[in-house]
Amino acid sequence: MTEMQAQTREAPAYPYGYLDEFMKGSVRVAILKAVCIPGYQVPYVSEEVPIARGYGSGGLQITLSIIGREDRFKVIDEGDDETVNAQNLRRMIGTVTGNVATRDPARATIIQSRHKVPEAPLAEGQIVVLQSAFPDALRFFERSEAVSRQMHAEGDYAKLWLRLYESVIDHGEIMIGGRYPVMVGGRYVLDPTHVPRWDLPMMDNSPALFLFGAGREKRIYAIPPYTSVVPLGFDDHPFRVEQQEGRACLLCQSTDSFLAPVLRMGGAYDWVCSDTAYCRARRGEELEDAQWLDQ
Amino acid sequence: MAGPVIRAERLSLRHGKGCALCHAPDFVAETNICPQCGTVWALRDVSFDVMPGEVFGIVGESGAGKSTLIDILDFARDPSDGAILYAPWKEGLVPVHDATAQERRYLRSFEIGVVHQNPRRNLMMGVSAGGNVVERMLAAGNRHIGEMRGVAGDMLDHMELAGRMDLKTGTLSMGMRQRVQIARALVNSPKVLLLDEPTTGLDLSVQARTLDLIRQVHRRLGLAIILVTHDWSVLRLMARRAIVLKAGRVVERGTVAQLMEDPQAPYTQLLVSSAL
Amino acid sequence: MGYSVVRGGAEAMQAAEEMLDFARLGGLDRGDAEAAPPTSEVIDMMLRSQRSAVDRIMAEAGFYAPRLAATALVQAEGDAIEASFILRSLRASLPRIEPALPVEVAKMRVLRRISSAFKEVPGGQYLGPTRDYTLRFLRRALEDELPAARLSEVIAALGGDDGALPEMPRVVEMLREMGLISQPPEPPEEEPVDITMQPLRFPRPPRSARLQALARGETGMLNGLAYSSLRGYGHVHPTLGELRVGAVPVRVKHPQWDVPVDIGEVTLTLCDGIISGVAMVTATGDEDIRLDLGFGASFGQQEARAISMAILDGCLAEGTSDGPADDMEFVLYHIDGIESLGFVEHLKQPHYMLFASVMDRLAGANARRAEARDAESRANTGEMAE
Repeated sequence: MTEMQAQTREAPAYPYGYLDEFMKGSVRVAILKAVCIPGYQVPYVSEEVPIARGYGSGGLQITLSIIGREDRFKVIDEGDDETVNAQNLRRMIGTVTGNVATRDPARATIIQSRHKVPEAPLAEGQIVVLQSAFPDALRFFERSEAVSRQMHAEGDYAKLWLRLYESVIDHGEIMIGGRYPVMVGGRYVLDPTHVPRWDLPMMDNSPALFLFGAGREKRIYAIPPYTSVVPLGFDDHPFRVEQQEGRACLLCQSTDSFLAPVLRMGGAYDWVCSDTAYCRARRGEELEDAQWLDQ
Repeated sequence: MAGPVIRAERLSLRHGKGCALCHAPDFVAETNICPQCGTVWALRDVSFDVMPGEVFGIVGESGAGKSTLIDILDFARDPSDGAILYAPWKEGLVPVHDATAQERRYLRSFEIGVVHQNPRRNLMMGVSAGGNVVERMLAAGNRHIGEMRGVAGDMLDHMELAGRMDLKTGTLSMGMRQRVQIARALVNSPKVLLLDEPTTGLDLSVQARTLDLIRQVHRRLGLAIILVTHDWSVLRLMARRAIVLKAGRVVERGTVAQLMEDPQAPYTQLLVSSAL
Repeated sequence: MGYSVVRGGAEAMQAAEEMLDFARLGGLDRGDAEAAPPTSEVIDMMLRSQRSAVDRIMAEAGFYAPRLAATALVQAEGDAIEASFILRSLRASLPRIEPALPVEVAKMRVLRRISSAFKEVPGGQYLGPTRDYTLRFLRRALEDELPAARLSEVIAALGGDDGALPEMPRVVEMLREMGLISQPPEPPEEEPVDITMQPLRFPRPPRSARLQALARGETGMLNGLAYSSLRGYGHVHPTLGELRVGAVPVRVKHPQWDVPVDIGEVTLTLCDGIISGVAMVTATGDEDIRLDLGFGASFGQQEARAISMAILDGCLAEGTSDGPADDMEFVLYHIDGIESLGFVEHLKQPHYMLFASVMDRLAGANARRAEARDAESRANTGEMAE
């Protein structure tokens, strides 16, 4: 059935990795620049790919530009290998490259992710590609690109700090859930995407390379390996991750991974690991390689 | 420190290219528009020195170029010709037009405070009064909320805004907003304070109170103040020396007492007599 | 209580695709499926009868390929912006061969040409196929129309070919020669910027980049923004020096012999808007006041697109009002329909963790509020006891 679909549905002729070589080249140039200037948002040409804007087109462009025949890739959406979104991107990458996908983060050379850093420790040589919706942490309060670029250039972050101050004054703590601003390499403030605050310490001095692709906004930015990532916080109101006291994963009893709520009838919650591969490994399951349309 | 903290050296700001006639050093005209090429000289050859700890006045009617001058002193715009030199920044008097954007931002954050006639130019109305003050300390790298609130709270207490620190600035009266501006301008202990018509538009009683607070601040901190005003009574109360601007030019300079009791230029005579 | 991980996303996804085909082929109760023509015939029919839809899709995609556009239209069940998205994403897999040479407007094989600036213009005005002066009664008689018969009637009514078209110089070029058109505020560019090869840079992208972004803009957004300036949120209100629709050859320089060669033909709509009015006068001193231009172009016959683009070109060059149409970033960041559609639709994706994070913050803040309320009521009770 899969084969028949491939014949009737998929566009027949495209180069390896779908993108034209010119475009791959221009994406790679932007990636190199982003790695050289940690946290700096590099404008690039972001052409349409067969995944809608807002569905990870920027991350997909990065993955398709850097993937080689030997790479093994993993796709997760909010930590989950099996959501329709993750499956769809895995199918897209698999269809246009023929590369093997995996669910095991240790065996993946490229991990494309939305809203989550894998819980398992990352290693040198691995690349995490995060899909970004809003590349600029200053867009909260400064809508003009021209002005916010100037602020970044001058390291002028007082208004961002003021936002955090006002949040503490109004609510008693910094009321930013996701997209929590971090200082990268002591120079640029960066929007780490909607990963939970829980994940930010995992980005600090990580041996892996983090690449961020914002396709619709046409920006690529990066956190190179072994770069400091410091979430903004005050000396007397420090940054805090989500509070998980008294919670454990319903399936694997983990208390040291980020837990996502499952709503029950009557308004009660259960908690499960958002990183499904981590949860399955804890339960002794084998993390199998995946064809892009297997079940 | 014996020398001036700020020197303005032949500052000019023109709109238009100018021509041989109006670029000539001895060019004089009734208005600030060149009769030959139509170039507008918003400022022309304005020079003065401000000494440490002094309150220096700039008087003139609206349209004389006072706000343009403040904008240049605050780096909101560059002069077409001439230079501003700041003493407190590096060794000696240094011209600021070759300063980098970062250096200018440093000067604006730590060396110079500015209070505009319109508080909206400085204050964020959706942010608390304390936040507007704290923002300057955040720019200076302070990351301790308790400490910053201590300093900002004292500052606002001095400005008679005790208990209003956490109210949104937009909910405060005009007079209060003006005092928040002053607290904000002073919080990083600048050496120079620029006041652009700080009490214009306030009720008389509020005006008097605000000027009194500024005088207290001046005595306490000993900083230099450049006060721009069209109001001779404000000038007499606050400043010792002043220049009189007309159509972008300095028509007279001296102590305020001299200017008011024995004005030389016909324009000053007219201004003083109409004020009394 | 048991909990099972939700899986089987791939099955659901496949089933959704099957259902989409079911709907596209009329399975959702839209007539007799047995009687439906082969899909290639449907595509042919789109090409013949849905000219405006096909043109719009090509314009928004920035990709001139009528049959592919018609195929995309069928694939998207008539959703024009979805069809242009399909077309544009195909574009990303294709190599760029060579930039085309500038179009020679005066040599256009004109289908329609009007000027609202002059009653008569050299070369004449040609109404051509336009709906401008049709009465918008619903033509129920179309139910009984036989295309072949009606077509021969039409041909008979129109009479034969009038022979060669007269020379039609571009109206604004004539005005320029008369010295009435101002120099554009920006110096001319050697080579136009291609925004599919170089990123847009703010605060002021070059005019060629702006024009390309506008030319690919979403029809409704172009129209709405241009309207806002016309209506008063801005002051660009052009007189159309000329609006022309017709076919022009696509020419490239031969890679070896360095001579222009025709490689095909495209239908274009071109609009020269003349922008004037006291508010626009920028001349100083002894200069004469001249007229400014705004330029619009679209693939196919897409007149509102071309006119809207000419207005917005004028707005972005002037930037004299604080209306949204004059705001460079606002216009260029929101004009692309494929981007805006995608981002609005992405809200359908899971945002579980974002929402969990919001709930976490909410719980924390509300707990502190409850504490504060308790403390207050304890204090009040204390006061009352005193």
